[in-house]
Amino acid sequence: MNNFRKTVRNLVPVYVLLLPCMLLLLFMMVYPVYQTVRFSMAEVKLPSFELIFVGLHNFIQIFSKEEMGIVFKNTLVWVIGSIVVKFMLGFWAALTFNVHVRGGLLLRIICLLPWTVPSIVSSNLWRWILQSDIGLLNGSLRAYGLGDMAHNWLGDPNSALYSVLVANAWSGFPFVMIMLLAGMQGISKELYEAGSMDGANAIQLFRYITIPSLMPIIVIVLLLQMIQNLNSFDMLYVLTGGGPGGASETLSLFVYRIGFTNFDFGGASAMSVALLVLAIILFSLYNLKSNKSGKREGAK
Amino acid sequence: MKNRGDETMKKKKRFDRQGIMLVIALMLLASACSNNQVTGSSDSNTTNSDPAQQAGGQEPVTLTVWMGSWWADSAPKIVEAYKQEHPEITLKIELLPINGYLDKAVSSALGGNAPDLLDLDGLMIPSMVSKNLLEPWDDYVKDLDRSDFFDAPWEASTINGKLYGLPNRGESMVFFYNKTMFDEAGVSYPQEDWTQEDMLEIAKKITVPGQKYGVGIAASNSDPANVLTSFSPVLWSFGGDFLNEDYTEAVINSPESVKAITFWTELYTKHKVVPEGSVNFALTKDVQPMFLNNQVAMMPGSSAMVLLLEKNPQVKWGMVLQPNKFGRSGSWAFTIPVSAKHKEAAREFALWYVQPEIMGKYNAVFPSRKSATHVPPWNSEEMQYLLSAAPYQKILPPVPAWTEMQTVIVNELQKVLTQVKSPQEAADEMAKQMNALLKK
Amino acid sequence: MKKRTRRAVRHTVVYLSAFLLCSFSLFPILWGLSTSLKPEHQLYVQPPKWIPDPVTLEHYMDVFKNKMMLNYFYNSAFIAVASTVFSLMIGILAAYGFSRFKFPGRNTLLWSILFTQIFPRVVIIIPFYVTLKNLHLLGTYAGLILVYLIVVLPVSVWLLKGFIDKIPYEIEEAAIIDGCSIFSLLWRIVIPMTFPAIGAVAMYAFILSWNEFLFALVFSSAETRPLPIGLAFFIDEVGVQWGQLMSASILMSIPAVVVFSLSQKLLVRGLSEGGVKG
Repeated sequence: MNNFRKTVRNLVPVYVLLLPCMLLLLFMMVYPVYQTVRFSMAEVKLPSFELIFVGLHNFIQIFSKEEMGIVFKNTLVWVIGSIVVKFMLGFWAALTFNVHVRGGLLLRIICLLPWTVPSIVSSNLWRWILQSDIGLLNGSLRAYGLGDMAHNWLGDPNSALYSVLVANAWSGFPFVMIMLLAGMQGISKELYEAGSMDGANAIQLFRYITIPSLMPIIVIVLLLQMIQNLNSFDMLYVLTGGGPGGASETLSLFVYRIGFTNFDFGGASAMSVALLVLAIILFSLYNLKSNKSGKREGAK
Repeated sequence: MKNRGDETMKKKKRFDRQGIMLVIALMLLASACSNNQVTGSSDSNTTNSDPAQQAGGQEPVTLTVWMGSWWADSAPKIVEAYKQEHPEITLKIELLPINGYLDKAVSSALGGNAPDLLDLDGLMIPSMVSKNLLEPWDDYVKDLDRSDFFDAPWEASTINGKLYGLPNRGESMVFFYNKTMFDEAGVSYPQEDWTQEDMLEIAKKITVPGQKYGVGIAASNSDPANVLTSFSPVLWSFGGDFLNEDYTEAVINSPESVKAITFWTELYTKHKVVPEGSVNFALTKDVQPMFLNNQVAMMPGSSAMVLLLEKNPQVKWGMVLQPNKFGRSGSWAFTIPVSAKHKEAAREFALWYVQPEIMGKYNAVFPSRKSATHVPPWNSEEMQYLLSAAPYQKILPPVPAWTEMQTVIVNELQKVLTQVKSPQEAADEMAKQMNALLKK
Repeated sequence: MKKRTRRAVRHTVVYLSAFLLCSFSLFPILWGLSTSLKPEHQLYVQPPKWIPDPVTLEHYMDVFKNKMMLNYFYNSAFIAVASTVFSLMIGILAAYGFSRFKFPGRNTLLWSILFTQIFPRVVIIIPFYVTLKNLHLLGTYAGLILVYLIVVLPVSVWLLKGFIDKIPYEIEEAAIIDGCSIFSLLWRIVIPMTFPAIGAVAMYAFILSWNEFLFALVFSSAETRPLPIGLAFFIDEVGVQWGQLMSASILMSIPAVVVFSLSQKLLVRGLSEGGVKG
């Protein structure tokens, strides 16, 4: 690999390749990040954005709020649940459409349709579907004699979060499906042929060929989904607004409430900085772990 | 082998440390440049006064006004009419959807790029004022006939004794009732002097569980204003209130207030005269369709409801003052952001607009003054009935932390509705948080 | 014989599976379609009526007659196409650089661009607003495209890098030895081998720009406003105007479906069989 790098490096310094991207991102993001960090440790006087340094006061105030515990629990349930459901649906869909059948293109596009619906429409549509008395779901259940299954999906604190989770999964699973499908295109057929010649059945093929080959993509999609679901907003806001009684309030709704309803930008920034610090800590741990395993490999 | 491995490890660590230092260096660099950015905008605010406009006002000026999307039909007409009066001013009315209206208003005001005139819901004004984002109107409204304006919208825009918004909309809330459902149940229509208990009795007679409900309430988190519209008249009917007279202390946990909370929540938990999904209902999105569908017999509403019902002739309906007459006033007002560029022209336009003939003619919503209601569609029987309800409208406390208090109130009410807390516990929690907010 | 029945069984399973998935994906959309063809007073009839009677095209006519909608459509199309093209161009370059080169700070930079996604919109929106204002890009196409790029690039770079990592570099090595320039290398060799990833990322970038609401609302002016804002106008104080909302939404998703169909060609194709073996 060293020879290769040297030869390519002679062609063009790596910076040229990376420059547009890094320039754009760092330029646009450095100011918001810097501003957020400053705000998190200050009392923000509006409208002049005059800052009075207060140290960790904002952090303490935010984390000592009563609802913090519930917000964290909801967020954890939401992120893990969303990822699980979206991955299950996405994998199922990707496996299904990886097989070439007649009309497969059309069916695939149908499964992509949820992704094409803007959130303002999908959130209001699902609200209509799940709402208790005039909703489509309950109405249909009652019409087919399954009225006992009708439930106050959004108004019952026990089911509110999960109901929104299903709606959100509907909207977002096509992304996972597409990524996995793209990844599956890269697995050469010969591997499967060799495997089935050795007598492996479908499940074994899946376990020992599909999954390992897809691992890098799975890891990336997992990572992206964690971050995206952490910031899920529209569905939750329209369907339940975080209710009832905070039963479906996740971190994103909480930060919105602190920032735009309470106008407490110091607090909202503190929350974001805390998230960032958490992410950096996890990243460093992961880095340390991969360094260790790298060391073991290098020692061979 | 081992040595090379160690070396590459050391190199890797050094490289990553270099990378981190690179990012930090970039951030420091950016901070040096950006230090001027935010303060820069506030500097330009202070130098951005009106001398240019005061010197005559005859130079061509583009006046930017932001209003809600429901003004779509009126806006072009207003622009036309104003052009006749002031040809040198180019009036631009930008319409925004209610979804995200406040987000956009706040971002622009804070970002230093606000419009010249901003139409705001009365509920949004106190928090904007507390952040010093709006200009007061007092010096400029001395020639206006204050008594012609409805009290409630005017009071809603008055914070700490100063007027921060010139009301152009004053909605009075009354109860609408579905005559078809009343007739079916053989119940006589509500009378004007009825009380909350009367309302409950009527609701019980009409309710058929799972199919029909006597009355509709709203308790959804995503529409806190709707919840207050539904709840506050009940609160006031029992003699309770959110804050005391001079807005210094919370009285939401007084015995009268707790009785009101109990009554309102028991509509759902005990008597079940409201739809099953009420915990997550908004009046407009959920109760209204049920009313139109002959599933809910009574609900609060204002002029918008009248216009909607006129478009649905299959519904037989009537209006009556709310039980115990109280209603929650709805208002919108013209405000001038501090960072507006053409303040004098903005004021001129707003003052021109609130003249009775103009407002009555062009308002898409119920006017904020009595003399503007002499022209169609405001002079219809239904609209005039709403006018008669105006004296009984009360406002929600115009204190800066109100939007925060609102979310607390809705949250606690939901907990009572889902029977997680008792009314007294919820009221005490509300009072505790509201008092803490008042102290800030 | 055995192979044929095995294939038949496999196909049946696939069709059944696809049927279930499509039903789940489709039913809210079918309801939306049904709503768009229903007259207003039939919307909330219980039990729910799937087939409107009578079918009315008035909502669609309303949308077509609305001149603003056409404007919004042009805006959306321009912004979305530009965002997609730029994010692919910039993203591929960056992904290749990150993938093939080990340089000081590579890992840190890679992760820090991912971290930019952690910040909630609420926190980012005002600094973005100030930045755009100082660059005089508020209410312009460029401003909005810039913001969308910031949102799309981290994901694009990570995904593209993931795919490029998997491609054996022997081919590129051979090409360089043959005297290939870097851009011709990218264009002729790397890109064709990453078509599935490019297809996926193109879909992602397009749909994000096409459907984005909050940033579009705050950073655009009345002239540069994209479609989702137009949709929001159908939700006002009087409630949701379902007929117009659904018909506008369905019309709005047609371009997205077209883009998706085109991307499918890139997405599902075997890697060039002539890859370098082991």
